[in-house]
Amino acid sequence: MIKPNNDNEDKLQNIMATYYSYIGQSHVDVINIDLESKEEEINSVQIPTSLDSWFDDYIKVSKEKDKHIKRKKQIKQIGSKVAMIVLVISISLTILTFSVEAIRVKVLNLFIEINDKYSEFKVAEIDEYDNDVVQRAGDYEPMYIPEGFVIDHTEEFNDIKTIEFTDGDNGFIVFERAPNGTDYQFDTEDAKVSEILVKGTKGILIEKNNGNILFWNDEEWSYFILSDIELKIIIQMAESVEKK
Amino acid sequence: MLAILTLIQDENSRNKLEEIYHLYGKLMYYIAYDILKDYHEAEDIVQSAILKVASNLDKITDVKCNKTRGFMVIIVRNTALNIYNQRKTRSSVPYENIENLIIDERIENPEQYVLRLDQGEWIAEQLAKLNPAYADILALKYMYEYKNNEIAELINCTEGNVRIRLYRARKAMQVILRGEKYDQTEQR
Repeated sequence: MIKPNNDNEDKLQNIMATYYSYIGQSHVDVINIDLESKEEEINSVQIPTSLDSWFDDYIKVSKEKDKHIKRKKQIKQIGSKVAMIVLVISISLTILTFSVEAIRVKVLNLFIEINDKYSEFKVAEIDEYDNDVVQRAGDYEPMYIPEGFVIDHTEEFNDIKTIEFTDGDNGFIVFERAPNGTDYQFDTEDAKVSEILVKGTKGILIEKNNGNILFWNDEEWSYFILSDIELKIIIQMAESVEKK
Repeated sequence: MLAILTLIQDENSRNKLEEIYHLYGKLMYYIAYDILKDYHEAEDIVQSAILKVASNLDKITDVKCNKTRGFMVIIVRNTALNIYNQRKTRSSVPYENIENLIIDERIENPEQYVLRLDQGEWIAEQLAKLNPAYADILALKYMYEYKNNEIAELINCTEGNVRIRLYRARKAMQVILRGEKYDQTEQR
């Protein structure tokens, strides 16, 4: 037997690999021919309902996870726009420190122009935020949760609490409660912005195609609800916010 | 079965998996039950196979074709056979105990036999008659182009086990091509 050199060996290996692939293909053909003869028998098989349920659950969990990730992205997108604006404000405030009254007015005007796209919502100056606020802190949450919605998860950062609700399908609601003085920047570009009374105090309603935001406050807290559900349900939910 | 799952997070893949389940669910259950003769085990095998397929959906381009149907059969059959072999007490040496044997990974040279290109189905049938797992492993390796570790993952066995099966499948192929009688007792 002639001992093949490395090149020849590689070629022979390739030939055999191709041949095995051909045999594999033939094997699959044989499997399919065999299955055709058993088609009637296979079609008469009753899959256990527990197996169907398992598969349905698997798909459902997968869909929910998918939606959760999409919602996170959606909220993050809003968040990133907010962060950009906060930077602008910080620079503006630095200028203010070294400015005369006349320039201060200009800076404020400029700030309002920015609000044509992103509107700032702030109930009080941050300086006013003190320890008393923390002492006053109660767990204010909506007592009314729309039918079919459940809490997906809750996040707390300092005094800011965010609750995300899901209906297990496409619907989502984000409720957030933060101390008065917290800055909020909402994307109001191409949105309808109107005033609305929530529990007797003025709130702002931002209506957009992909979701609505209701922002309001009481003596201690600022709140917002972000959702794509019906406005009247968002309002009902806001009206129901009480100390837990 | 434990529901620690590889979750599919895009709609197209999910739709593909649903199509696979609806098209081949009965077939998978039929194959698994045919081997194990146990409804609960057959159900477990189908679940396991679905999860394996879910992790390899990118390799399935067309759901409704013989290639995919064959793939589903091979995955279910081999997973079920592994369970069957674990259940059965064998007098011969099990795969796992001989994994440390030195296996010549090189593919044998075809100098001593003729590669018959007009009799693929017949050769595949002969190989499957010797042991269906041999033909399956060749298909997974060379036709579906899975790596040894991927095959091990797909059919719930060790990588060493895959290497041994491939080695035996190729040896069996040589014997068939030479027209010799195959001694199965050595190969179990």
